[in-house]
Amino acid sequence: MNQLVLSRCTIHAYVAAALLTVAIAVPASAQNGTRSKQDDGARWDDGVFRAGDAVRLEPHARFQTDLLLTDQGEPIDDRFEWGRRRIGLDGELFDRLEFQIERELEAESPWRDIYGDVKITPALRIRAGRFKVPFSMEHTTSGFALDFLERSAAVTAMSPGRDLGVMVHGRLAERLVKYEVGVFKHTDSVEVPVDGNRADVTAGFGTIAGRVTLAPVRDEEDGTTRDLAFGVAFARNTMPEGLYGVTGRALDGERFFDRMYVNGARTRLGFESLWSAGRFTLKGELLQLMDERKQQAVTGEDLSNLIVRGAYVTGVWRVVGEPGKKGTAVDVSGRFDRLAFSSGNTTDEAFTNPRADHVAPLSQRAWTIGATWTVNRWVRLQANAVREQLIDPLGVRDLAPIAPWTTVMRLQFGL
Amino acid sequence: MLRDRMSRTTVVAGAALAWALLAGPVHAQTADDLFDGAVVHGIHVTMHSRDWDALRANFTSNDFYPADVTWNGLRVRNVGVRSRGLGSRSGIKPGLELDFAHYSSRGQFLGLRALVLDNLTTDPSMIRERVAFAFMRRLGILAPREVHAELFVNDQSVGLYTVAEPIDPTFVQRTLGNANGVLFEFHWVLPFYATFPGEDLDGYRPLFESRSPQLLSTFDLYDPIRELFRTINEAPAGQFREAVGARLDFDSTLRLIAAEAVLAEWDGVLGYAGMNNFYLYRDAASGQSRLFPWDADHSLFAATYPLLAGANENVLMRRALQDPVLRNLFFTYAADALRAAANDNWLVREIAAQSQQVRPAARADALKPYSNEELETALAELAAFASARPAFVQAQIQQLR
Repeated sequence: MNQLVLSRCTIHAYVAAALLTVAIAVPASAQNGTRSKQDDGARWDDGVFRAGDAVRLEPHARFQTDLLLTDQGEPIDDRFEWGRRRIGLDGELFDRLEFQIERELEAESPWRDIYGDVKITPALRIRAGRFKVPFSMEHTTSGFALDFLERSAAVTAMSPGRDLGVMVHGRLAERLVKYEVGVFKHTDSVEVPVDGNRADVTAGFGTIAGRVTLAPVRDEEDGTTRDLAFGVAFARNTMPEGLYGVTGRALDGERFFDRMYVNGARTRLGFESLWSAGRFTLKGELLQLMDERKQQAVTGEDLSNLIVRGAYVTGVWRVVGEPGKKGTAVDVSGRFDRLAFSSGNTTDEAFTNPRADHVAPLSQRAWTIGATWTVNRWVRLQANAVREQLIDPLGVRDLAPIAPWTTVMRLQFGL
Repeated sequence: MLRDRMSRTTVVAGAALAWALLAGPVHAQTADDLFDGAVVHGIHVTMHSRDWDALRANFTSNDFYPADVTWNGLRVRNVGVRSRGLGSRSGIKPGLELDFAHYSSRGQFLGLRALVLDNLTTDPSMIRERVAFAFMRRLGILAPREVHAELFVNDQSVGLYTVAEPIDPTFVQRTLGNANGVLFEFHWVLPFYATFPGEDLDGYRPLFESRSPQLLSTFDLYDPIRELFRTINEAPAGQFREAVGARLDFDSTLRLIAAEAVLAEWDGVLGYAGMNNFYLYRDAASGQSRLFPWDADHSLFAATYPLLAGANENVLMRRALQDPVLRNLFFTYAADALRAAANDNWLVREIAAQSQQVRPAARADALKPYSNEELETALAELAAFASARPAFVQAQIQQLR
């Protein structure tokens, strides 16, 4: 077990985060006492401001602090860092228009979700603004509700970011089917950070994306299977010419697969599934991203497609707490994920260069074990141990050694 | 129609067969063919036009770009190309490194892992370095092979270059028979005269950059170098030769310094601003270090350049010359070098031959940073140097020995 000695600076950071959360939380809880007096007018209701049935406003603030438990030789302040720090406002107006505004504190591109969502019928809703492109179950899960500290490498590398767009979505056949189909202004992010937020929104020429999930079993209390769902997703856009290929990064941020030149269509495909029974949940995804590389050979000819494939399987066991419900809980979880880079041409001699026709294949495998303690609605503590491995099947790279195990702890405050 | 097509096919096949028979057995080309100095070679580099533009625009960067390289009908694909050089860097006529292993650890070309294409922008004669290295090899010094070549990028001529064998583990393996030791490239970062750089091992890293693939600790890399320079500076006079000789191969070192002295190399081991333009290789078995020469485009400086220029400032050479055995060894090697230069007028003939060989391509080089008049003047100065230098060196040896 690691011996942690928190420095003064680190403790100050934790305390500041806690105080800020409590400060925001106090008005909400303080206003709870006035609920009965103001039932017909404006009132605070468990952290939500309501004005009759016409207005619902829900401010929120979320903070994460991460502490790297390995590399004990490093000073603790070098191993401590802020994770996500966000404030936002959700709401609903006139039982017809939902909206969300959220931004990061101190980020280069701070704005995250800014959208309105018009409910026409349960089967037809229209969302417009800036929000996540509908692709991948894990990508569209909030960063504050993940089973692990980070999304799987495949999802992080292959999912599109947020973008300006219009999306039609809804539920059909008594909520058996959920669909989301949208068009977006830009094509892709040049950088896709861990939280999926795009760093460069100027590259490319529009995206069309869609996701359909089928849930034959939902919240079934009596049967063996509580939830069962399957889904497929698709996204396509045109990439401009340039070094915009997808990268691979280890957990410590080190890039192990560099960008490749691309030019042409980028096509993403995804398949997802989820099954839960009793205290156990099993879920996973298969993802593929394919880039055209028109006129990118050194001679100006077309190169074979760049292909990125990935998958993960996650198992979660609810040790303490009510299965399938929010509230105080302790979960233990395990995940295997894989991310692999290759090309359409697999016959010629393989190379690593950004204009190689046969891209030397490289894959990353990661095993993650973790525990999540949801103390209450405001505080969550997570710890993960991750083992990463790089595999170069043709042996054409001089791979730098990576840490066999990385252990990270996260304290999360949210309102 | 079918008959016509078959007829044409028969003619083509017959011609190919006749050509193959006349050509005789296919000659497998080797690195020796690449470094055949009898001709000016042609090197063709094919790069994406955006990459070539980027390399020239960012010529101070060491970023690699992929390319195909063709020499004498042999094409090697996926070569890493980058801009190289210090003062010679140019966005008009870039010096280039061709790294055959950059995009695949198994990459090689004729057994070479890399090649240096020197843009010759700091030498108006365009032949100094090749003459110097040819002279050193004639003396048995382990110097890189080098030839002249015209470089074409995407079929456009970029001018006259030299193709040099880089000093890397492949070079060490070829010349010494094994490359188990550690190779360092010396970087001029300040005037360094073989004084003791100090106890801090991190202070050695900017001077001596490891060029070996082994991942070694700072201590394993630099403690032997620290002890070498400590010994050079602190060994008692009576023990200097034995103590330093345990860490430095005096024989090859003094042979190299003597050759550079005869060649009037003013930016070499005894350079005007301190030590420069060499690699240091430490043998794994003996622990002894030796020096390899590099970047000799400031040699053949002046016929009357003193034989011992820089010797007094350099601690290693000053102390070596105070030792009777080492002093005699140095002047013996200087006399050997003098004979190698003067016998049969070798230096005069070599400069004349190289001048004649490269003159057409050099004059046609529209990207060189000097005029054809300056080229001709520089070549004439080298011819004069070759004629006058032996007598001056002879007099210096007799006077100083």
